[in-house]
Formats: sequence, structure tokens, C-alpha cells
Amino acid sequence: MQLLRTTPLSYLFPQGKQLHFDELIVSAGEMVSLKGPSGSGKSTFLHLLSGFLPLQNGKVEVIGKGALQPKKEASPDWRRKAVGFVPQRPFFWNSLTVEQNLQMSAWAKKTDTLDSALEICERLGLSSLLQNKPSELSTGELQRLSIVRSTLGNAPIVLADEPTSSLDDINASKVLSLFHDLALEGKGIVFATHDSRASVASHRTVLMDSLIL
Amino acid sequence: MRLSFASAIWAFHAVKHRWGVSLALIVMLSLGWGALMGLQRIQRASDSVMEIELQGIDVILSAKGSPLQSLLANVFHADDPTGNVSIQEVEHWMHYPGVAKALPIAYGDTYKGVRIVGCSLDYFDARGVLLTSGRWPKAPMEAVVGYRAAERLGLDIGDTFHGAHGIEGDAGDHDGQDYTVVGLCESPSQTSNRLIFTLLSSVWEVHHEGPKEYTAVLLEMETPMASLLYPALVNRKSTFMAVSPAIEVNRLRSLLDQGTQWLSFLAYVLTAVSFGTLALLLWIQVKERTSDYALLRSMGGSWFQIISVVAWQNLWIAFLGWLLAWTWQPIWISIYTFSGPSQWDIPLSLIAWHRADVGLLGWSLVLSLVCSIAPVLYLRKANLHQALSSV
Repeated sequence: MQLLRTTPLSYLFPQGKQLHFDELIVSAGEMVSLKGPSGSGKSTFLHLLSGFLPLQNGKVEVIGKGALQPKKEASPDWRRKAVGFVPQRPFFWNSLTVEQNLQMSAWAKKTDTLDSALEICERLGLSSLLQNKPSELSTGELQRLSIVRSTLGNAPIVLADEPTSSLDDINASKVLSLFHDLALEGKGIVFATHDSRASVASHRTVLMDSLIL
Repeated sequence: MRLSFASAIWAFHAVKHRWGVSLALIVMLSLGWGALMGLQRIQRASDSVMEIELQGIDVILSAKGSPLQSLLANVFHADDPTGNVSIQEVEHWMHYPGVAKALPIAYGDTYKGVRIVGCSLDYFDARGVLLTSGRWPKAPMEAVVGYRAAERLGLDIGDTFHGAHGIEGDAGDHDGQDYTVVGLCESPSQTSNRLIFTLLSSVWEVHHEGPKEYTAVLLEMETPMASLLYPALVNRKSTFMAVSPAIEVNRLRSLLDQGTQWLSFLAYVLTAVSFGTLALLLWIQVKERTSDYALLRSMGGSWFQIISVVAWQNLWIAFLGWLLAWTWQPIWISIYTFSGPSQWDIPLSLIAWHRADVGLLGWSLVLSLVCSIAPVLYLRKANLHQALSSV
């Protein structure tokens, strides 16, 4: 079953750099890695899919959740219900505990329950970290919690930007394993990476080499 | 958790997290607001004291001199009298049309620094002086003592004392002319509570060497118009003067207000600096944490949610600053009471809420919201793509 479908897209930066992206289709349970050198547009493509950058042309559709249209800002509903996003750096509010961070995210996503996220934490052995402050955790732990956070609101698509780039092998393997679990639950996973450990673990790799000056 | 006040909770945690800066801001704000609250309280208390002390006194007849001195001497008993007035001459003016009540007083002696005031029995009723024990004086050399004076002097019913000549008590004792305390009294007027009262005849008996005179006559007029016209008439046609307490109180207040205005100015400056710092620090904090706020937006957080998290941080600091300012009040007022003149026993309620305090809270919250505008505008312009790409 298809979850995400894009037409070919292009994006022109104000400085004049233009990127072209081929169409992309992601099905339920599929884990797709976007691979390419720095500047090839991996993050930009993810940000277009997330609605952080406005589409200049083409169309991005998450089946059953609506579509992004050119020149229109993504609605908050798109960000809440269509996609979950994992930034390259796991941003957390240091003034809050991990659980409070999750609650704050649930508040932003306007979802009442943390149950599914807490259940994933339990399964991954992260429950004992919930009362810690983010500053007390390792980058690997924060990255996994960041992925758990992206599942709040139960969006069908999870987008991740370089999720394993700063992790050692053990932590990278835990993060990839978590993506696999989410894929097994029926989500579509798309992550940008230049880390071969991640691309090897994915079901499909899309090479990004569409830079046009 | 119900999420209606969620932003207030997240913001409170953020304020608590940078507690050093937050505490410094809260203390700064509280000093400014606290000084303003204290000044307002003192102003109100002072107004209330003036109102009580001047109740029923529309005009003072006294010997020519400084009108302000006459007011301080004959109403507040905090200065030397301007002299005495002849009974024969003043009697005519005491019964002049438009005069509702005339209360003559005569004094010139003290006991251990407490003024002994001669008056008629009408005075007690007109000035709201109530007997708490004993009886009113019936004969010369009988005295009733205000409760504060009695406490200070250790006087009780049946005790005797003799006055010292002169307002400062430094012109020799009246040995052999003892007063007997026959009653203790209490009044809403703080001044009356600090005096010893006796009959006019006592004062004349002690000072038998001269003619019988009044030191002053306190008049209540029948109408405001009479209060306005009568002093001018007296001043034109008599050898003594008529003083309008309302005018003199305004003059006194304008003298006192100069100091108060400076203090208010400094308090406003301190408050303005505090709010400026509040705005600047929140802006810096928001700039440093742009990615955190961007993340909220990336998850679908509405602008209202983002703004509320930012604004609540300032609201908390403003509220806590105001609360601390309120808790300063006993300290401010203690300093004022200790450093103020002892005659001005201002009855200040140290923990009472005042409507003006709520007004200051309102201002505090509004200003804190104004201080949130720049950080919110900064976030509004922030680019999600850039904020979430930064490593």
C-alpha cells in the first residue's frame, strides 16, 4: 500500500542554486534511504516532504492525510498528522525531563496520549530515562528518543535527517533497529544519510545527485 | 495532563532552568514595583491620617504668624503655637453667622514632652474622643489622658503629675499645681491619643499671671462657601488670622511630595530598566534556542502555542517580581516608620491588599507581554529549514 507519493520536484534557492528531485513513492513497511554527497539536496528534499520548505512546483501526497501544493505553506495539520520528523541533531528542551519533552511534543501535536510512545520506550528499554534531563543522556539515547517522539500523533511517514551520522556502531544499530520496528508496524520510513551502515539497513536506497548550478 | 495551561507549565520550567538570571530579574522588578507599592501605601495612609485629623475643622483662628505653623501647632500639635488670641475679640467671630461649631483650645505646658491641651467638654464630642475608663474632667486640674500618652508616661486614673512650663518643657516646673488623672480616652485621631486634655480653666489657673486667652479656636463651618469666605473676612477685619487647613495641607503635601516624586522617579527608572533587561534576555534566550521552538512548529505547534510558551516565561517573571514586591512591603514600611518623624504615627496595614497593587500587577503583566513581542517576531521570521538544519 502506497503511503507517500511525490511528483518530480525542483527547488530554487535565493542564491540561484537549483535542485531537482525525481518522483518518490514509499509504501507501508518500507524503509528508504536517500544517499548522496554533501550538498546533493538530501536534507532539502526531506524538508520539502515535511513542509518546512514551501513547494515551488509538483506535489507531495501522503495517502489519506492530504497533499502539499506549490506556493502554499504546509498546514499545522500536515505536520501533526501526515509526517513525523527526526532532525539531524536531537533537539530537546533541557529545562524539561524527557517525559515532559514528550508531553510537550504531544501538546504541540494536539494528541492526548503518550501511551504508544511510552510503550515503544518500554520495549526499547528507554523507560528508565524518562525522568532524566536531556543533558544527562548520550547522543544515541537522545536520537532514539527523538525517533520515539516523531511517532507521536501516529503519522504514517517518518522522515529522518542523518539519524546515525554521529553515532557509534552500537547506537547506530539500535536506531536502525527502531526504524525497522516502525516499518514493521506499517509506517513508511525515509531517511537521508551518507552513512553506509544506514543505507545498507534500508530496503531501498535512492541516490541523490541532482544538483544543477 | 490537561493541556490548557500546558504552556504556562513548560514556560515555568524554562524560567526555573535559568534560575540565576530569572532570580536577578525577579529581584530587580520587585525592587522597582516594591518601591512604588510602598510609596502608594504611604500616600494613602498619609491621606487617611490627614482626613481624620482635619475632620470637622474648616478654619483655625490663631495669632498672626505662619499659617502652616498654626496648622501644625493647633491640629497636629507638632509645632510651637503662633501666639495667643484675646477671648473678647475672638468671641465675636466664634458666633459669626456660618460658624457651626467653635472649639477653643489653650495650651502652653507639657508633661515629659507630652502636650497638655486645655479645651471645653464640647471638644471631646466634636473630635470623636471617647472615654475608655474614668470620667471627663469636671474641675480645674483634672485631666484625661490619650491612651498612647498614658502608655508612654505610665499614667493611670488617680495618678497625679505637674506640668512643665513651655512647649519643650524647658521653662521651669509648675510645682504645687498637680493635675489628677480622672480618665483615659481614645480617638481615631492619632494626635489626640498622644495628648493630655484638661479644662481651659486649668490652663488659666496654672498661668494666672496673664489675661485669659485662647491659643486657637477650631471652627466647623456650616457650608463649604462659608469655609471659603469666612477666612478672608477675618483676616481683613481682625488682629488675628484665620487659617484654612485644606489649603495648608496642600502646601504641606507639595513640600513632602518633592521627595516622594524623586523616589517614584527612581522606582520607575528601576522598573523600566528591569523590563528592558527582561525583553533583552528573553530575546537572547529565544535566539539561542530557536531550534527548540522550530521543533515545536515542525511538529505542528500553532503560532498561539509558540507565542504562549514565550510570553508565559515573561509573565511568570513579572508575576513573581510583583509577588516579591508585595512581600517587601513590611520591610519598606518599617524603614519608613523608623526613619519618619515620630509625630506622624501612620497606621499602615503591612499585609493588606490594595486595589492599586492589582493595578500594578496588571501593568506588570501587560509590560511583560510587550517585552515578548520582539522574541515572538524573531521566531515568526525564523526559517524552519535553517533552524532544523543547524548542527
